[in-house]
Amino acid sequence: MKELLLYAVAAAVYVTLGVFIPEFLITWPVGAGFLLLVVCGLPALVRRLD
Amino acid sequence: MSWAAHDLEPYAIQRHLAGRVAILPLLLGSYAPDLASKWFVYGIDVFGIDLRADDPVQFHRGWPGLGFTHSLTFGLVVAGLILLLTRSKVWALSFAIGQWAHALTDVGDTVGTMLFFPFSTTFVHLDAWAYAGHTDRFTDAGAYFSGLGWVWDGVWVVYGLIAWRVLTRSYFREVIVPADGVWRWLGRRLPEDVLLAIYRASFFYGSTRWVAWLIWAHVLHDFEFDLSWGGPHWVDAEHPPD
Repeated sequence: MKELLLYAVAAAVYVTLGVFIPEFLITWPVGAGFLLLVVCGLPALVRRLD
Repeated sequence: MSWAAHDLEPYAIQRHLAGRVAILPLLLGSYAPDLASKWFVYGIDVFGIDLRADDPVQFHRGWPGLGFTHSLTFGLVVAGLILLLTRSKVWALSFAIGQWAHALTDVGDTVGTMLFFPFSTTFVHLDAWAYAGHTDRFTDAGAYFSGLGWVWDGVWVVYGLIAWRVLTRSYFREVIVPADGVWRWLGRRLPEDVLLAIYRASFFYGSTRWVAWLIWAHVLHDFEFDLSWGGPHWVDAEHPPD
């Protein structure tokens, strides 16, 4: 459930950013990098800070 | 020209062929035809110099040009090279299927593809949605997400959501990883969560940008919907070069 929530948050934020800054939607590496950052990078950072 | 189908179709193919194909070469094949050409179709600015094809359609889909990348033969030739270099039948087959999916999908627009190049330079085109790559990226986006192109992409988004099991961790472990040794190799270097994100990345990218461009085109801007065959007709659609 936590995993699904992370992906849903990533999707919602990416869509919102993309609507207002469409350059964000243009290349695959940006999209994939954003996903990795939100679903892997941020949880790892939070774990480290804990 | 498709804006999300090339990201999403490989997951549908993967679902049907399961362990007989591998997702990475499927995706690579699906992206391959546009990898070398798309940036030059829309143009880029490098230190104030605008680099752009004089005739984007000719360059993208034609011959002379890079149109051969959208032919069925191109998929077979690259698949043959992959087989020669890697000895992996699964990689070769998967690349060919992915590239064929791209070439066949692009038949849907008003330019189409030289599917049977080099045996024929005739363009196969269904004219379902307008090719507007020669305008600029944002007009093209507005046109694409106002015509049947976005409907076609939407079919794959919906299909992916219906077949959501393809995106689960258990499917990844039971089907995706055993089909391709690359995942085991990566698994020795990266955590499973990272591998899963890589596996899901194209689906994420395709489906979220489909939603975002749609909102951008019709909420933030007022591009007019035209779901008639060949639409939208408010854009100056391109057709196969003479």
